[in-house]
Amino acid sequence: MSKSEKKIVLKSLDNEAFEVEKAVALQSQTIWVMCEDKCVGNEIPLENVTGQILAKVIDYCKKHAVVDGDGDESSEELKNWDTEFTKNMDQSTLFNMILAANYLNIKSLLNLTCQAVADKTKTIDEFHTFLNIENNFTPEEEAQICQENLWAFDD
Amino acid sequence: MKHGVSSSSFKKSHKTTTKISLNSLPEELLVEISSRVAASSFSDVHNLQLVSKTFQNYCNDGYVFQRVSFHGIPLFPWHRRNREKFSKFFKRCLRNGNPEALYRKGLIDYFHLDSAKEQGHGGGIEYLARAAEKGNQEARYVYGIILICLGGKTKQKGFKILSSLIKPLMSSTVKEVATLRKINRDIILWRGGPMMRQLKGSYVREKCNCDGRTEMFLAKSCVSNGFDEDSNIITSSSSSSSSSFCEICLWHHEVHLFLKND
Repeated sequence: MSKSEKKIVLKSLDNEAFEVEKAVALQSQTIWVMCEDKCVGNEIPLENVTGQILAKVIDYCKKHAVVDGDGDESSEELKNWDTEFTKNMDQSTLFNMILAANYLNIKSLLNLTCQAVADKTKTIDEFHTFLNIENNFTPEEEAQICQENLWAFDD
Repeated sequence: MKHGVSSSSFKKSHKTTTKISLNSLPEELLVEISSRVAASSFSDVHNLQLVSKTFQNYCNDGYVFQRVSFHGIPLFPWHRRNREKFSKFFKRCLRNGNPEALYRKGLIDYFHLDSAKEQGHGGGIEYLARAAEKGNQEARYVYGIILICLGGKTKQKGFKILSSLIKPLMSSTVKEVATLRKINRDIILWRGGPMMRQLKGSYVREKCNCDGRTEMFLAKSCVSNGFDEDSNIITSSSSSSSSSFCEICLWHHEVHLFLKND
């Protein structure tokens, strides 16, 4: 395979271009289908992803790519890397990563980012602040739910 | 990394600190997140329901019921008035194929039901089989052991299911299996005595031609509760040096520990 065939250029919403190995990019089912159908050239425009997010997605894909026997990282190490990867992401980055993983159809990244949100939101307050949603229950409705679930907390 | 091969005319670093609204995520992703919260514990689901009406709706999704964790939830709630609510919740989890619910239901039906109701046992083992199939470790352990004890055609299937619990090293296998044994016995022993005796009665040891090192290792680990690194055995069947590992000996030993009455 010639050098140009092995590389692929991904172009973000804000026109930032990233040249990556094909094996890295093809972890995205969306890109894979695009390449299969030959409906694109060597440059793939991704209209839903900003450069800032795309850079992170590519970081992830590079880490998880198996390129010519280069991918013999232990699963333990990969797991730690994943944890570090999402640990310090702020809310908007994490949400954009979820959207990007969904659009690009990268199952493992989608799992990882959804799990990260689930892990960051344990208490009700964390939900309200992290997910940026309002509590729209009346005190009566709240009491009703607590009553319904009482069985789980008796001992 | 090669960033910006063709540099953009757009302003790049418009770093915003504003939070994104939840509504920007498609509903199926919010259900996915909800189910992941549910998978850690029920009290988290409870919190989730209290977050907002939208999330309360997500918590009613079958997918969430399929994944909710029973960790920390008592086998039976004590108060009469809670029993009905619990059973409603439990049935929903069962209907949605929640592996932990299938395992609980199977274990209770198999060991706790009156032995007069033969159907109960048959049904119980079906539930355990389904939970085991879905990858529930506790169910795999107890279902595998039951199949070995019952003997006959199902015996080999039992060995096959149990082999998924084996770790690369003998010492870690023993630890893992001991944990699963304890979880199962804690639930069963409350009322499961008669069924345990029945299994003991039908169990026949499979013959093997091993060098006896597996049995020796197991006997040692029982007494000292520690592991001698030198005598540790590699269990992976692919390597030729693993000829010392004998699955039959391992599970024979395990059946005895599982059925021991004390």
